[in-house]
Amino acid sequence: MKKGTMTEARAKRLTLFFLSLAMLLLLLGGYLSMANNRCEVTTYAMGSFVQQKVYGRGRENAAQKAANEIVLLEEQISWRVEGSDIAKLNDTAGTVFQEISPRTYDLLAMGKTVNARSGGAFAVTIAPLSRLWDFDEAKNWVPDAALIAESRAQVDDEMLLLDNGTAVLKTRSHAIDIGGIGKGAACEAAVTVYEEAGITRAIVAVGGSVGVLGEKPFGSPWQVAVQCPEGSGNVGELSLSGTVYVSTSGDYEKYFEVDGVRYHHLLDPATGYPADSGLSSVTVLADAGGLSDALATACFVLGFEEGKALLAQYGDAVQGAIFISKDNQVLVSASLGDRFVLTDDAYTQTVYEG
Amino acid sequence: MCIAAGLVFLAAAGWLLLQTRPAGTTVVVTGELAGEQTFQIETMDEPVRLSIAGKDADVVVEITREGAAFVEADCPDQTCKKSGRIRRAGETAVCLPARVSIRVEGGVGLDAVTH
Repeated sequence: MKKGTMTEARAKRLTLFFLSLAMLLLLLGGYLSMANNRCEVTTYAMGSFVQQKVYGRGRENAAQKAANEIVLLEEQISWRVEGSDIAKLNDTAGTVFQEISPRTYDLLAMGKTVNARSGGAFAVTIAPLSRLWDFDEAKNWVPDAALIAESRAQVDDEMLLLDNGTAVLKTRSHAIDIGGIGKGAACEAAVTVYEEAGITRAIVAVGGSVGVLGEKPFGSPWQVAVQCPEGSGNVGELSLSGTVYVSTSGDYEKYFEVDGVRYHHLLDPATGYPADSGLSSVTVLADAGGLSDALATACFVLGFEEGKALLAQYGDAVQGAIFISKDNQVLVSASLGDRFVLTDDAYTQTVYEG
Repeated sequence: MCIAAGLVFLAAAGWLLLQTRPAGTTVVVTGELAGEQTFQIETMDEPVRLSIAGKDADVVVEITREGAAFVEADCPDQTCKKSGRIRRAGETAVCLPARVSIRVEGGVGLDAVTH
């Protein structure tokens, strides 16, 4: 009898214990899920997925607005979209100055500067060449050498004149294609929307270009992996916070093979053929999205030494870079410090001054 | 009473675990007849629709960067479609008549991949 009472009291105590513990866990879970409350949306634009993770008050509206803004940007800067700023400039080449949106104007101005500073490794007037190779259509054949030479001669950013919100291409044989900086510019457009909406924590990825704002809840940095040039998986991870844009140009993204030779989409305006600078990928971290895209492309074309020198010209606007060579060397700028961690031991990491 | 409280505790603990589990990076589709296929969802450019001829039913699995889901099944019970889209590491969905399962693996807590 006595024993039974004891058990009952114990059972009550145990019940109370379990219930209070469960309550504690629920409270903790509730707090975690509140802090982790985020809006995650995936949309499709610029031929890529647009992935957003937005935290904080007003996140849903901000994400929706950012997605719309990216579509709007595409309608301004895609040469394929009828009536876009770029289509307008291409259509009116050789005639008079056209008024274009401030955003397109700024992108073209930035592109022309990268063109000048890189000795032409990146060009906004790449259209004659990029259309000839047309990697988007996956034609899978190498164009005729004479045609390549002819198209290459038409790539010249000095033939694009910019003047106070207006622009013109000097002759009809020139054309603009800034598809190479569209995704980075889209990340920047999204981050600008977040900032205007008072959002302080968000990350956006448009294809392989990434824009970061602030940090994750509880102060941990965003984890952005750098894709491995060979096969799937990642070479390493970046821990990022603040406002920064990350872009990567690699020979593994869009390519075809003919007779065992890989023809990738990063064309060298100097030769008219896919760039062959000993690199398989370059990742650039910059304070503007279009800029990180343009610099990653230019660095891939230039190779490590010249690419490094180009980035140095940009001072604080470039936060760091990761060059991956074809012989699996990963060259990381000292400015990245411990923000980059190599995770694939098939690669060797070296830190360079930059 | 005590057992019920224990169950409540276990449910709360399970829920907490679910809250903290990171999103996955790999979707593995396994069919008894079709074999196993793996998708790195973070680097996918376009959604993949996979038609799988199963044992007693045929299914269509859709894999996107947001995870994977059974979107079509010609079986009467349609249980697999009710699982919805799975996306967290460790989550699974199965279609028993077709003997096809999908699962998310390898959540390392990545927020994005640059490529």
